[in-house]
Amino acid sequence: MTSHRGWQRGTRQHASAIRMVVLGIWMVIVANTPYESYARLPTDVIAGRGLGRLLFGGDALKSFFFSYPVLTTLKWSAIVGCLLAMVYPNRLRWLTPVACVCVLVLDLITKSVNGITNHAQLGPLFVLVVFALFGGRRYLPIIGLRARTDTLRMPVHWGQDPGGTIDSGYASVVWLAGLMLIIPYTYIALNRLLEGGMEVFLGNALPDSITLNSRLHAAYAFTVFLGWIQIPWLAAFLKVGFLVTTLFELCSAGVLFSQRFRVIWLAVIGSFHFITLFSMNIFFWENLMLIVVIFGWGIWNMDRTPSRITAAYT
Amino acid sequence: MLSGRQYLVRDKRLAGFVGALLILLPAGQAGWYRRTTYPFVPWDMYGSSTPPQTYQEYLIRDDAGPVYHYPFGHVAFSSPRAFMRRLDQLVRGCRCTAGDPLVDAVVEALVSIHRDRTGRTITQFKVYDVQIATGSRESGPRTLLYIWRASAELRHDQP
Repeated sequence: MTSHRGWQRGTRQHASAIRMVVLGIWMVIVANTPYESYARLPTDVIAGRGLGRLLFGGDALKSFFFSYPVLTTLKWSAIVGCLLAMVYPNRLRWLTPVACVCVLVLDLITKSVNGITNHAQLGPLFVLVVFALFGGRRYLPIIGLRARTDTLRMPVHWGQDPGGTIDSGYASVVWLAGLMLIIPYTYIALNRLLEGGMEVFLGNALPDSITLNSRLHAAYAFTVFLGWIQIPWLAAFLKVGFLVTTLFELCSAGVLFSQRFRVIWLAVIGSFHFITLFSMNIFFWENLMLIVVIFGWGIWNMDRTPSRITAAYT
Repeated sequence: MLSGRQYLVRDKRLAGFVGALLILLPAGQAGWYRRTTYPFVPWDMYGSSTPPQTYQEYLIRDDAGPVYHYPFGHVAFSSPRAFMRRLDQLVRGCRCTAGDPLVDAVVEALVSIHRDRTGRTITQFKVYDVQIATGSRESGPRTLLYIWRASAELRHDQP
């Protein structure tokens, strides 16, 4: 962590940071969702979706999963599992897949009481799946805690580089986690262009969406854009920005190839997430945290000569 | 993808994972019936050139007195609007403005959750359909879709 090599992309430290962030994200989501209250909802409201149809298909299964003891057990298993997986990434490496299963079931429960199946939290879910499937066999240091000690204890077969920072094993996990975020942005842009066409950007779709979402009740309650979209040049500017953002989303894969593009992409997509917060009261804080830790990691090192493996990664 | 080919060549498990995703994600994207494909669903966000022209308000009155929005964040932290949509579907599905057993049961569950979180008892829960007027600071015409009132028994059953 103290060496600048720790801030290079695709290192153990980078993989560990992503893992900590995604586990932290799920811990916050699960801890703040009153799953135990769902036991009070009538079971007729529950409609399993996708994998959830297998779990909540029959009345008996539905009653079992939506009972207070099961919901409470799942919730606390996920919270404790995420916490311990963060603190003991190596000693309890079997815990990440367990926490992932608990989180997946809880996410299916959330989706089954919702009226729409949207893509919210799918990015963090897929990144967690990556670490559950591919993070287990690799040694991971704890960011900021015992990193030095862990490096000394590292068994030889866990890393090819005794310097402890660069290992293609970690680079592949980081690459895959990045891919999990690139895919949603690319698909969102593709969907928007194919389904809505240019009319989405030229017509009143954006002002209508801003008006609707500013008025719809939300915890953030920003309404400042209701006034701004009445100013013609500002409304036109927002539509241009919407098109530019969509094009950047479409070209998200470029972050794997070019560091300079990655900087611009981060600025555009980061701004986009904050603009949707103030204009529509929609804030994908989970995605924002993940793009910062996955694609923003060590971005200030772009002038340094990259190592052979890091160069291959970028 | 291209920059990751070295990892895919070295690690067959990883290659299998990425290969499965490359099939499942487009399949979910193209799927007509998304309820069957989750977590592989269309990644749509502001993709329609004709967004809805109405939205729903869920207004409550409790011990605090004035009418205000039901805090759905208490029920669904990560997706309160998706939960609101479910309630909207139930209200529209019942084709009535009061007294539907299923809608009432859901509202009563929301009332008990609210009481647990705030200590206040909801006495009235109303669902409105509100039209938007693009670029206007004023809300459009509102239509009452559903109303629920606490029974005398529930009102006295305070913590």
